[in-house]
Amino acid sequence: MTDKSKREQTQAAIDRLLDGSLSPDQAETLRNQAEQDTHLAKSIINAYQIQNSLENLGIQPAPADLKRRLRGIPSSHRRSPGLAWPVAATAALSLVIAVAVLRTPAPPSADEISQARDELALAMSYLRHYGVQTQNELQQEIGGTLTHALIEGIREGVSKDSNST
Amino acid sequence: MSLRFRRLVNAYEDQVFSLACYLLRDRSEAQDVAQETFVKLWHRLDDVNKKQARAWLMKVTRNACLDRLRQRRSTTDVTETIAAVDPGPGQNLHHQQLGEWLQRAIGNLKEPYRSLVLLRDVQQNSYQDVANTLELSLDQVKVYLYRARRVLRERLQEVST
Repeated sequence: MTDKSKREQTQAAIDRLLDGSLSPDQAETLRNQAEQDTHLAKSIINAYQIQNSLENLGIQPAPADLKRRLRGIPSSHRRSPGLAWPVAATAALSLVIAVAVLRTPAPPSADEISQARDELALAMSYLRHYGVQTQNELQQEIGGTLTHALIEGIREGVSKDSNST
Repeated sequence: MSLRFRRLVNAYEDQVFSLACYLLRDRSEAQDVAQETFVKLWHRLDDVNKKQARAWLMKVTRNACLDRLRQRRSTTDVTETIAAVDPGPGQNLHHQQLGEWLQRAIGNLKEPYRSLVLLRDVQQNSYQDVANTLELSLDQVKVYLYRARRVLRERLQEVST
């Protein structure tokens, strides 16, 4: 084993000793070695010193002024609402519905229906009026009997046509 | 919402400030970083769950400190850097002297070794917490920490002999 790999192995053993992951037997072996080897003993002491000092450095408490500032954050920093995905999804859905509603013809209102009925009634009375007038004109031109025969002829033609189909 | 924020402030304000303090070695700058970190937390409170909070805070704090250190380094004169080589605590170490020397020695470690030593050996976070904060695997944390400790020991040995 080279000096370097031996040193690496020793350092790894010291690390595990400090971590508490060295078995009691291994720890005992290391201690026995350290009694024979002053360099190893010094390495272990050094490692312990550093580890203890690091732990003793510990956590530095935040100064009172900082603590006060941190507690004031909610009142001094307004949280931006942000478009969280449920909000964005709701907005998108509303938009789709609005477009769909605008594209679908709206059902007629009561006023429109009433107006349409009036217009239809007017149209029907117009047709009725002109229908009667036309019949009168025909009767005057060709006589009532011929008019009747003409109408009957049309009726028969229609009836034959419908029977053959 | 404000109550949850307050609880997180109570639980982690010292750790956040302390990490910033050790990394920057400047209490005033550390206060600024701590405040920036908690302002970020306030705005991202909905995204940070209770289990992640500590690792999230430590990560944000560390990143903010590293940004500041990078800016600082770019403006530091080269002669200053050479002059900053530490003479060491000497042979007869007092506990306090060793502590002060260690703080400087940690400051001279490279990343992520510096953060590893601070989070694990100084702040005593669990290996898992350190791994989450630094986004490293558990094995990486152990290997890097081993290297960092070795560097510190060797430096101490060099200066005390």
